[in-house]
Amino acid sequence: MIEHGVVQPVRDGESVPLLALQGVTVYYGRVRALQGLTLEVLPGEVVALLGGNGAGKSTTLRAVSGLVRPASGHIRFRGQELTRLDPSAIVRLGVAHCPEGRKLFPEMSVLENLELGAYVRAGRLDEDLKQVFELFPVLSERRHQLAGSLSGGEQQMLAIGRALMARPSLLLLDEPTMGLAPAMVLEVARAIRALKARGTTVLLVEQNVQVALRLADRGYVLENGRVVVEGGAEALARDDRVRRAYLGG
Amino acid sequence: MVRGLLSFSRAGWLAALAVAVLAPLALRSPAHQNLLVLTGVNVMLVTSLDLLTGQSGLLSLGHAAFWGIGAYTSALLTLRAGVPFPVAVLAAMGAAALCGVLIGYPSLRLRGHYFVLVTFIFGIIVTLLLTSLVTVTRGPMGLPEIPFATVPRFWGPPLVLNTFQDKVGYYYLVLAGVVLTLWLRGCVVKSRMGRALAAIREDEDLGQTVGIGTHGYKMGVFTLSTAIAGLAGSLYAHYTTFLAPEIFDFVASFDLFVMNVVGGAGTGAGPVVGPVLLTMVRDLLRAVHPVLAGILFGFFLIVAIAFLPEGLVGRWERLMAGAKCSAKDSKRSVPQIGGEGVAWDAREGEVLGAGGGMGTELAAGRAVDGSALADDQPAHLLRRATPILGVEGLTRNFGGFRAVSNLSFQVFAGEIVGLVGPNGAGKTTTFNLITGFLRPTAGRIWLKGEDVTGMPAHELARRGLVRTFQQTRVFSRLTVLENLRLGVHRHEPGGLRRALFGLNVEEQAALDRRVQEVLEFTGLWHQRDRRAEELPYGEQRMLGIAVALAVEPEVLLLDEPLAGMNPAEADATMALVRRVRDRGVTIVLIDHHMETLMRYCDRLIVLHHGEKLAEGPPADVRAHPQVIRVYLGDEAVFLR
Amino acid sequence: MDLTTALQFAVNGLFISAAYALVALGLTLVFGVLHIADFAQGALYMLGAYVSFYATQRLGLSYFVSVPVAMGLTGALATLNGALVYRPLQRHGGALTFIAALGILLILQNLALWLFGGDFRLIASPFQEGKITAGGVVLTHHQAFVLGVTAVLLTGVWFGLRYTKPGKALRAVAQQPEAARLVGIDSARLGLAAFALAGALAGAAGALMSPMRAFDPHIGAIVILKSFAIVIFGGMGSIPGAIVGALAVGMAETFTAAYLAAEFADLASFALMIVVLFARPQGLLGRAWA
Repeated sequence: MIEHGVVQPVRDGESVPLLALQGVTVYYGRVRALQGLTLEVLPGEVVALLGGNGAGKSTTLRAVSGLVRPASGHIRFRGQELTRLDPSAIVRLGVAHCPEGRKLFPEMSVLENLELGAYVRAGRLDEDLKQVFELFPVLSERRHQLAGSLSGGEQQMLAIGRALMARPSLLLLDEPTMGLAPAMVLEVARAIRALKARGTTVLLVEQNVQVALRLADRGYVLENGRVVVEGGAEALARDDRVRRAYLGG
Repeated sequence: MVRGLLSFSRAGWLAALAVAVLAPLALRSPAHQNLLVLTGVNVMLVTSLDLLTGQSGLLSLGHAAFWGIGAYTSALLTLRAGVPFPVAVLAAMGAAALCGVLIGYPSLRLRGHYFVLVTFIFGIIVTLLLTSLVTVTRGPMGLPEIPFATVPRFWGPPLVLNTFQDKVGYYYLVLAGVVLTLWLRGCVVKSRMGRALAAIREDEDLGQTVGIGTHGYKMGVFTLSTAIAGLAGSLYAHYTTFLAPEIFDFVASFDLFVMNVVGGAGTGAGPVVGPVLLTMVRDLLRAVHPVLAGILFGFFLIVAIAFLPEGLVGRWERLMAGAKCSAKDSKRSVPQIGGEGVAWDAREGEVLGAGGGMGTELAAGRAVDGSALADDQPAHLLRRATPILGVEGLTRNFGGFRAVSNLSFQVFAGEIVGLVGPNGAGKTTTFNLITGFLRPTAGRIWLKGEDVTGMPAHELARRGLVRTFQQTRVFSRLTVLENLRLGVHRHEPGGLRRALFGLNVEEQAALDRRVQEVLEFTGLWHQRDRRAEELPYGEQRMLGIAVALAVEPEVLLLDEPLAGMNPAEADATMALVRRVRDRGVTIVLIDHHMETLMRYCDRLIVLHHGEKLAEGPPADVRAHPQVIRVYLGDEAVFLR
Repeated sequence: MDLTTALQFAVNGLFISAAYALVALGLTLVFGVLHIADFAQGALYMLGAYVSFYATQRLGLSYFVSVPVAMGLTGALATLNGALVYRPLQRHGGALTFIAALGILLILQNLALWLFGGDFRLIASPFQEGKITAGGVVLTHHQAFVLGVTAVLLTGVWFGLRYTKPGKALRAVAQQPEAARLVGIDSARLGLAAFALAGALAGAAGALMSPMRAFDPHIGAIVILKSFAIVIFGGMGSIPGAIVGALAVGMAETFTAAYLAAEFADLASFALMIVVLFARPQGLLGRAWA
């Protein structure tokens, strides 16, 4: 059993969080997936959410993007309460969710998937498309190919690209490296790094602890729907409790 | 399962019977008596339809076709071939049942939606055939002058029921048919078959897991249902003495379905209340204004289902049972069409046989691969050397994706083995392959020395292999006790005598003992009369295990039994699992609570990308460098 | 039989297929996006025919005006159905929406019966008896008109689904509903749009066929039965499937009527469907979306 611990806090008291979760509880039917979860993400950060299966990581992202409604607690984005809003309203506010398993539109082309990512926005998409293609050149090559026929890595890039088309201030990434070969994992990590350099704030759920903690500034370890360890990425990477959370005592 | 059969008490049913018997005395006009007869026929039809929709969860949209088949068979045999009435009746039932078997056999093998479509189209085809085979049926002109029913008597010449002169006599004949139908339905619902049908309705996969041969039962109930429809057809034909194809068309099937749903599908009195009510309403409306009647009836239907989605009797029952029933009831009292998750993928992969090899090794009791076996483990040392379950070269592809790849391992009797690995490693797919829910693309599966590759789940359950599911699956709307009665299904003796008259005292007592024992073992005895969906989640999980135990498995596969539990709960559950093992059950489980698994498992098998990565005692596995890398990420892969 | 006669039958078959294709397309659209089997569209087909009749016979409007008027009315009615009846009932599952659909069919059928009487009607085609003859094959002007309009409508729908934003959004909802929500697509509103489109198509089919096939208030039932079976046959939710299915059924009907007997025409199409279903339960092109 891991007690809640803080490893090397890095926050200075002045920054206002871009995203703040407070006491969030979520039920799936009778199962309590999140219990009083509290965490925050500062502007420009990459924050990793770690933990074993069923710990509540994906549920956290789904609560933020509005796919599930919390039974109690608050989720504030730039001070605005998200818990009562529809997913489309949340996207318009600047939060984009790249879901677990990619969930592309399989019978539509790369280009169409990207265009749909910008569904809530009016105006021209050329600039955004250019940026996505810069980030992921392989998508440019395949722009008319059906999404369902892409390889795993390409699909992941498209999923991220689609989320970026909404010009989000906060990007929620759910298990971007799942099922990918090591070379692809590198590609995705490189892309996330580039995003960070551009100033996009990222909340990253990852099973691959190494990748997550090398990309992130800070991390939270979840267990049974609540935070059990939090702290700076480097410190967490060295911490025994993280290892135990995955491999058992 | 017997829910609603007693929605009227026994006294209530007798009162209803009395009313039915006395009705012709109160309603003397021929028009009303005509309605009585037709209502009786409808009650027979809706009751037989309810056996499918309400009891078994099978939606048939072509029921009137079987009614028509019975009617025309009986009519043509008596008219053209001079066959005596009683024989014609039997022939009508036989013809309808035969058609039921013919279209039921292929369509009941697959998932529910397919059956709906096939019955729908079959209904249309029958109408078209009746219309176009003019030489036989006189097509749309109709078949007139059907002979009256002649009922043989012991004490004199046969009684001719001339329905033009006297409808009352025929009404009592139909009433006899109604009573017979309701009695048969009662027998089925209360019998072992009825319980199996309830399992099929509630959760077919789960039913297969406890050893219920679902296809056989579905065929049985469909045959019975269509036979009764055929009987109703014969009775109808000799009443009206005139048949036309449009009587039995899709509109008629729809009418029956509406009467079923509005009355209350799956309830005891619904199939009686529905036809009675709707016939009355329609008649009333027609008296008001013939054409507006149709419009008003349409509105009436929509309003009725909007406010009473579970039907009239369903709502009444809910009120009687008190406010405890949840609103979820109404959603699932109604059979589904289209709607959520249309699963068209009805076929699984082909089994490609692999060579023998390992099987003989297993049978001879020798370990095959070089896996390290733990030496000092408590108890069952002798049995431990015997492999009880094994897979060899197990592979499963989904299109281009290899979910499980050339997997081989053995499980020895009396072990607790943990199957672990990251998300998407293929653990549940492996379970599905072993337990018959998926067919392997390649490879073999062995159970107690027998090759069971490709065997369906219920066959495996009969051989002692039982599984639980990842999201806790129990028969939610049934009580704990009823759930367990399904668990012991394969231990319950069946047969016609017991179907009609029930189990004798010793048989019942033996079953009750089994059920009680399992419930006490899992700590659920005090909850036995509560519906499964009302239990707290942890107890529901325990119920899932209890049902699996009731089957008395030799090998138990648990899929994430500890999901969502805190360490204390996980510990308690694993302690129970250990006690189950001590009763002689071999356990294989999937879970992620590594801390707990380390303590309780004898061995761990680690999967990654569908392949076996490591195998052995927990301590060894945890220190295995590849395992660490897979779980914590690869240092070398990521270069700064 | 010679090539010319065969071609003639093929042309006639094409014409029948056109009407089926329009209704089947609407059905499969609504099913693909909302998982609702909208049987009420049969009544909308019937109403389309009656609107055409009323507009030309009683109001003296041009036939060519009556077609879009019919489409507008049936489209609006379909949207009402969707909003008032189907949406509230959807959470109770498919069987109830099915019964509701049939309830609506019943209401509209009887409304027509009350307003227009039960006689079979046939309106005069504005093209009179004009025909084109090419190589021994005859095509009446009206048939050509119907084929032309159907082609335009089908192309329009195809184009709209493929290239317009709401069209792509509809496809997105059908292909991956969760991701559609995540990019901000409002599936409720789109669902109503699907209903409107399907209703308009059914009304168009009715209006187009009104000078060719005699109709009465009960015609909706057989039309919807056939169209529904076509959709199943082609694969529920598949637009190419609906069109291919309509073609197959239209042709099967025509050729069976020609070579065997007219009574067997309907039977042939349904028998074909059930045979295909046994071999391929998901329909010919099941699960694909244009």
